[in-house]
Amino acid sequence: MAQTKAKISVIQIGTLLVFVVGNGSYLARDPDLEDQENTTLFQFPSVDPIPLPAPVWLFKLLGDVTLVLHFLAMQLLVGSLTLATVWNFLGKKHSVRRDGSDAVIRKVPTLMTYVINFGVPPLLFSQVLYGRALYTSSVLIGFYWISVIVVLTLTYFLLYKCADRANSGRAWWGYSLLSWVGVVYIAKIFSINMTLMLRPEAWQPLYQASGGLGMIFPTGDPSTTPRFLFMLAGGFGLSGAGLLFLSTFGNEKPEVAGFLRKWGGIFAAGFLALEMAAGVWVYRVQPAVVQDGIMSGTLTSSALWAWAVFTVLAVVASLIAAFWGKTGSKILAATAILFGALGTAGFVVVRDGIRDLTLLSKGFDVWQRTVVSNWSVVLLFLALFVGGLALIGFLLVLVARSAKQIANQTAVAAFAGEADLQNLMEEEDDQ
Amino acid sequence: MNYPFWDVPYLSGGGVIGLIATYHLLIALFAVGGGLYLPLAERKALKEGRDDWFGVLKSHSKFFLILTAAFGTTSGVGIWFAIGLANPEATSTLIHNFVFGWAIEYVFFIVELTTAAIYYYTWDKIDPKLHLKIGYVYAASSWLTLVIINGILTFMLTPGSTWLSVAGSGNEASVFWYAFFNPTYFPSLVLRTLISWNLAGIWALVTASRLDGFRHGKLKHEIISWSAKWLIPGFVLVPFCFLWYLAMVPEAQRQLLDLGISTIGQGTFTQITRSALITVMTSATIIALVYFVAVRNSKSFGLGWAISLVLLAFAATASTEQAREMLRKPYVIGDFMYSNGVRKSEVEKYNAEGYLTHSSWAANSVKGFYSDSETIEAADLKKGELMFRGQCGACHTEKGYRAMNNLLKDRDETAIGNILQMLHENKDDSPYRKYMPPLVGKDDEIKALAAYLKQISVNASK
Ligand code: HEC
Ligand code: HEM
Repeated sequence: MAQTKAKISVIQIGTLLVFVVGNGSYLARDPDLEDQENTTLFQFPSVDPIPLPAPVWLFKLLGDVTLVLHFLAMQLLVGSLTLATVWNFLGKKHSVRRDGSDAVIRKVPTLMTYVINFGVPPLLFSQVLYGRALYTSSVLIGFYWISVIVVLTLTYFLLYKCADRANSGRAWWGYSLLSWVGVVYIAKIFSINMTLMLRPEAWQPLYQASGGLGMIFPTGDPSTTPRFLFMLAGGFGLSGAGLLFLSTFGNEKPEVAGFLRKWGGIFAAGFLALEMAAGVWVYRVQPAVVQDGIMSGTLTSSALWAWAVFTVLAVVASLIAAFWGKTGSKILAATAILFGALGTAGFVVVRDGIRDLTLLSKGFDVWQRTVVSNWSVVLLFLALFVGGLALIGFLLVLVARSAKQIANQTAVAAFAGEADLQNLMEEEDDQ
Repeated sequence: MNYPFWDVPYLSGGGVIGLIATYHLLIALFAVGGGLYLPLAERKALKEGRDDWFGVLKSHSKFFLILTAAFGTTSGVGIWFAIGLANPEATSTLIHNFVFGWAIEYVFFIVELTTAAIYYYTWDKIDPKLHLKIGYVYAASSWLTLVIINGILTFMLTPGSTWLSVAGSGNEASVFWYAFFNPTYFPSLVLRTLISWNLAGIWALVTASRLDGFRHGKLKHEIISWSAKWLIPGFVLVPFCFLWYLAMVPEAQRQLLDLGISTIGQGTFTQITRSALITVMTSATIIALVYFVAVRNSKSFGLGWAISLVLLAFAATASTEQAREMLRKPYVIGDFMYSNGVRKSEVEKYNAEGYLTHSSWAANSVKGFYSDSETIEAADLKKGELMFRGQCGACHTEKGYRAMNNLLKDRDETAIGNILQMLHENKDDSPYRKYMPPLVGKDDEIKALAAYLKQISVNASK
């Protein structure tokens, strides 16, 4: 109850803000009314009798933060896999294109690791908050949903195969093309499920048609395609910025770095602009009640603005970075990717708002839950979470330091010809 | 039936879970055991100055990384997708209870994956002592993932009296730690740890088998013998731990096992006995093969043999899983929720007020059947199918796994009616109540189910 109240006041403040800014036209009608008549035709499964073990906002916070990370990794994966495949296909052995593609593909398996592992927590938290809708839609496309696992496994394996071939100087675009198909397939299935879960009115007919295994795709949702395009365009765009980053911070040969920088910048600018267009499309296919809700909610409307502004900034930064000087600018590259990432964070919040508003208009209020927490567990988790990240950071620093030392020693040893590495190490130890 | 039913022909949703889970366990437990194997082997090589071991360990750590990341992680996500599809109600219960347990596991998991990648990518690139330390962090974090997930898995078999006493009251969170450290927690943790060492040894033989025994005879022999030792603790201790584990399982569930032994030949219960026997036999074969084929003839020990060992381990894991699965019947969460998602506490309500009528998912379609179908019989059949999916489909398919057409082949209407009657009454002396949930619902629903089953039986006899 407390949460509902809090939410109402947030909406009220938002309303006021929007009104002051001069966009108060929506106040003239009651957007909820037109949809309410439909609610009798379908029902959400009943809510789990076990209360939520923590407040709704905490799940939302954790879910959105990890989803931003999932999306960042996923966008980098989709785009860099595409570019690398094209370059590897076009480039002859020892050409800049070919070397550029090799430089990129070596990073891709690690990206996939993080796509998957940052996908796990949002799925966990979404099942807690939206299980009634999410389990249902998953079962309705069950065949495709479980097929994600098979495709994911093969895709992941092929990526390692590509990296392996790149390391031994062989071409690999055939393998990466296959895994590209897998990645796009998975993205599409996710878009389908995440939109189907918002349409309880489509569930019964779909179930009747599919006979239970879930082999039929839902049709008739105007938002599925724009959402999918939005994610793909964003993916290409963000990975363009990723290449900018790789070109200035990585240690590639100068001509490879220059190549990555130029194309990375152009891609980032072009596709992030396209993402904006797709974003407008996504917004326009939302029903009036959702659009109004987004605009009147403080959080969602500011997130929408943040997304727009940061994406424009990322476009500009990428273009400048692409053509800046001979060796590029680290600051510009980092700025481009940072703005791109902030744009992603912005749209994650808007996306969350779209979901809540859509479900609410159909009678599912995510904030209406009893909460009975066991804080010892929650705190243990938070402590371990912070501790775990700190441990990883600490190890990475140690490893980087040690790697530098060893690299220097090897260089010195090579220089000194027969100089004894062992001696050198002992000397160092003595100091 | 709060959710739509995922109807997988021939295999059943439970079958999909079983397949993915077995495949996952084989890799995930290797990720745990192998996580210890690598740094211990590295330490030995460092201490004894064995440069030739390093080549083998490097290639093993690559194999390890790809196997555990590409196949282990994805299959783990796979189990989760599968349980959500096959049993959303139970998955929801587990998640509401243990969401932070999973979140904690996830933290260890991130540490595990990051250190696995660092370990593989930094051979020769960092100070060997630091490299070894990374290996130990990996070993610790991967074992800790087992420490966590074990709590959730064992909870399903034995939630324990404390949790059961508050289940349904809304205060489940207050007894989180009782649910987590439930009666089978510790025996199961020890068992799984031992098995993870076994698997570490077996998978290491895969890497070793690829060494050329004629060029590196001594090295190959040493690696194989050292890896084979990893099987010893498991071989010696698993039987005792298994008894310990059984001792912690409630009496009623254990009876399933006894029954299996006293009624061999009856078909039904030999399943669990059979599973147990397969586990014992495959394990013995593995040990024998490792000793006679790998250790004694290490030079010519090839990939074919190594893969056969992995397949045997798969069989042993699969049958153990099946035994565990049988032990849990008729529940998905012991003494709380039946395999078909019906809570024990809801049985009376469904009997009095109807099963389908209480399903937000089915109620509307049932109305539709009677207005759209040409005859009442046709509508009854459709309604019966919903009953079947909702209450029997978790364990039976029409044709295929535990097939209805087989089980019902020679039964006529009265026989079917009698079975349903017994299932519905669920008396204390009913032979079915040990492995099947009570059939719930009002008379018209049960009649509809009977009509549907009769049709299956008629089709089967054709
Ligand atoms: C928890 C899992 C489970 C559920 C749910 C379940 N059964 Fe079974 N059932 C079994 C098992 C296990 C057997 C033994 C199968 C065998 O021998 O292969 C069995 C056997 C049977 C048999 C054969 C019995 C005999 O005496 O030979 C019938 C008939 C049957 N089930 C009907 C049903 C019906 C009808 C439902 C739904 C109301 C149902 N079952 C629900 C697990 C289940
Ligand atoms: C190659 C692999 C993957 C790709 C390309 C991918 C892509 C996507 C895309 C495009 C979306 C947005 C869908 C939309 O809203 O329109 C999405 C959402 C999501 N993905 Fe992934 N994904 C991948 C793997 C995974 C995995 C393995 C998991 C989980 C274990 C996962 C968990 C999620 C979750 C939970 C969401 C939605 C979260 C929410 O809205 O609550 N993803 N993913």
